[in-house]
Amino acid sequence: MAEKSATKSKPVVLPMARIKTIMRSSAEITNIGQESVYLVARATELFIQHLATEAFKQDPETTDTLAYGDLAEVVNDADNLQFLADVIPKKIVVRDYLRMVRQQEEEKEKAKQQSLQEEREDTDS
Amino acid sequence: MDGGGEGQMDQSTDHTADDTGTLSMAVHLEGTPQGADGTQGLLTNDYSYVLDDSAAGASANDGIASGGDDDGGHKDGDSLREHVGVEPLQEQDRFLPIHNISRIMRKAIPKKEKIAKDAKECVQECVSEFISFITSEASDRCHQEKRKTINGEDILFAMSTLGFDSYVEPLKLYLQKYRESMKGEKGGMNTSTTGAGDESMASDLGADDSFTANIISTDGQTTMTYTYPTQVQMGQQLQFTGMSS
Repeated sequence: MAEKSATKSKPVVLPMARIKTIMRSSAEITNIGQESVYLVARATELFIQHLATEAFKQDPETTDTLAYGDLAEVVNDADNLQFLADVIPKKIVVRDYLRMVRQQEEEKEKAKQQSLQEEREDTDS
Repeated sequence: MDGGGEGQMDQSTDHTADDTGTLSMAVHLEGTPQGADGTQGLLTNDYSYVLDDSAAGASANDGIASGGDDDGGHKDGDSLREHVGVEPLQEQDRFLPIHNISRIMRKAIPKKEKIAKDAKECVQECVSEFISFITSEASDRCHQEKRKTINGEDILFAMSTLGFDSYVEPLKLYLQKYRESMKGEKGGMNTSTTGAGDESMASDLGADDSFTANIISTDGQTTMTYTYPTQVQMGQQLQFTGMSS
């Protein structure tokens, strides 16, 4: 479908049909105007560029690869990206996870011991 | 059980040792988030985490968990909201093509910078989530106003509400060009700008609306009136009259 544009605008690089499909599945709506699909397509482009740029800023200069961790940092820091918090949780290695679990269990134990001790003191007095 | 973590694990664990002798451990917890690359998430008291199965971190002693099959993407998504009464989409329909996404990303960063595969997949998921997020906000507004069709203004309003107001101005420009190019298709085009005070064509102007668009069709002519609030750069009321050929 050739568009005669009075003013030039870049062609959209994302598939409009797919975007429309995703939109349809997102909410109970009867109709989606063509304009809104176009706007969402453009907005998505901006969004991708935004994510990429921000992630690149997070990337330390030692690596030349944009990685998952950079994206996780971006999502963490930005207020308007909180809706992505579950999509990009931060990654840790198992070793660190186990250490954290152990720490928490130790703290729980300590707290338990403390409360037991306090009980004993109460009964003694 | 060889190598791997010390101490007792409360949760159920599957231990498998693959051919290379590396211990893989999948830790299953209830209600855990799915990571972008399909690995199970882990919950501790305050944080949710995804096990890092990248090559850099992996070694026999670390016991890095791998998320099972690694077929280049995405498990059946829990991350995308499923609304009541709407069928969950096939996997390929839920995401935009990764090639297009990767192209857009690469244009935004210096040429020599590479992008990790899991980063691309992650952006892919984020994008779908973003689309859903915007759409459901726009749709809510539509319902509130008893309209059945989401239009451009709903999208722009949703952007602004959800903290993406920096996108609104560029999007308005895109929208303007898009509308002009659409008009161009219909043949001759007359545009006239009238003073801000002329409201003769506009029927409801919502008091707190940012944008109002009214389409009035009479006898094969379509007149579109767009009214913008004065704080916006385009403070005029623009009238487009399209003649159907």
